[in-house]
Amino acid sequence: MVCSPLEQFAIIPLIPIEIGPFFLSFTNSSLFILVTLQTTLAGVKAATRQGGHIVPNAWEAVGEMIYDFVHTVVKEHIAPPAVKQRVFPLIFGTFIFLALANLLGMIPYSVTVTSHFICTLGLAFSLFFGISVVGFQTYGLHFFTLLLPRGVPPALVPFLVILELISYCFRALSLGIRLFANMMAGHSLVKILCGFAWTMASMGGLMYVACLAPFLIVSALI
Amino acid sequence: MPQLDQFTYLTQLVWLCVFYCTLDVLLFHDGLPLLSRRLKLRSLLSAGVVFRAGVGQHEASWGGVVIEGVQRGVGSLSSSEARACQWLAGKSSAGRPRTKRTYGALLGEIGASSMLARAVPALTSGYAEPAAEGATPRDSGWPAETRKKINRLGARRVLLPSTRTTA
Repeated sequence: MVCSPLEQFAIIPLIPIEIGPFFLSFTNSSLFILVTLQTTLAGVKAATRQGGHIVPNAWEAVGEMIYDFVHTVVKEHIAPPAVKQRVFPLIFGTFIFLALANLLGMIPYSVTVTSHFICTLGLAFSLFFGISVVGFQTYGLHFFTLLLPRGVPPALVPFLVILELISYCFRALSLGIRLFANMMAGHSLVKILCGFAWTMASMGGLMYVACLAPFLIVSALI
Repeated sequence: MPQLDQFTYLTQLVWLCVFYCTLDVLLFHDGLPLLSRRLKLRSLLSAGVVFRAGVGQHEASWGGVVIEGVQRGVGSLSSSEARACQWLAGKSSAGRPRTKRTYGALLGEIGASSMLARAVPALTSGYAEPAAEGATPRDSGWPAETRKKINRLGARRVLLPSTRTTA
């Protein structure tokens, strides 16, 4: 029986839920989104137990390192403090969710939530629309100045505006597709190399020794 | 290819929205404020910052930050000191063997506790009485209630022996 490397991405309904014409079943992908959520909350709980300590313990130190990392990135790219405070929880939550979802996907027989483009594109487009709406609410029509960088020669203005507009709109699509493609390609590659290793080991003889090569590549990847 | 199976799109999107929004709400309300408060308190303690009377409307907010910070700091440090005394008395809280790391952390917490106890009265000492008419904002002290509260917290820490559990 030949196993396809794409079988690992199958969505299996665990709790079938049908509301009219809509299928809203609780699937294996939903289960791992829930596991990601619970892992994040458990980590935050461990980092903030009893309000924390002046001298942090291990869990608190990890939580504070992640907080500091995201805070530094946000501080470098977003200037006004009021905006930074409003936006920081969203960026922190997105970072933690995606990092943990990808890490949990490395567990054998688990589901990589971000290997489905509907998840990554859903997140990317919703953030893109949200940022655009907030941008227009805050700056009004001045938000369009984003499309014209400073110091551009007047002759290039029409072309650059169109180019920047396409680039801005395409950013949402590219962010979603990049993550989905990386996850899908990476997991497919690991599955294929493991398949090689197993087949070579089954053949015996010199192939039994040679199966170390794909096995070591997989170990290095993981 | 499972990714192109359209019947699964709605279910994935809906459950992703539900759990992602839950995560964001819980982080916004519970997790991140706790982390940021602790980091702020630690940076204030380590920098040895002494508050000066702020401009008018910021005094109440600074006072609130200090009170909350001191309360939380004192609360966590007293629990740590109780554990330290248990350790010194010869038994660990869960019967586990003592390690150098725990010893070092406990010593650090006791040291920080003393530093906090010494620093708290200094946070509000030396401020002028509520300013007379015409005085600049810098001359006016903190609201009297705020200063009393902080001094009470500090006094409780310094004068009263902590609830040491002798094992």
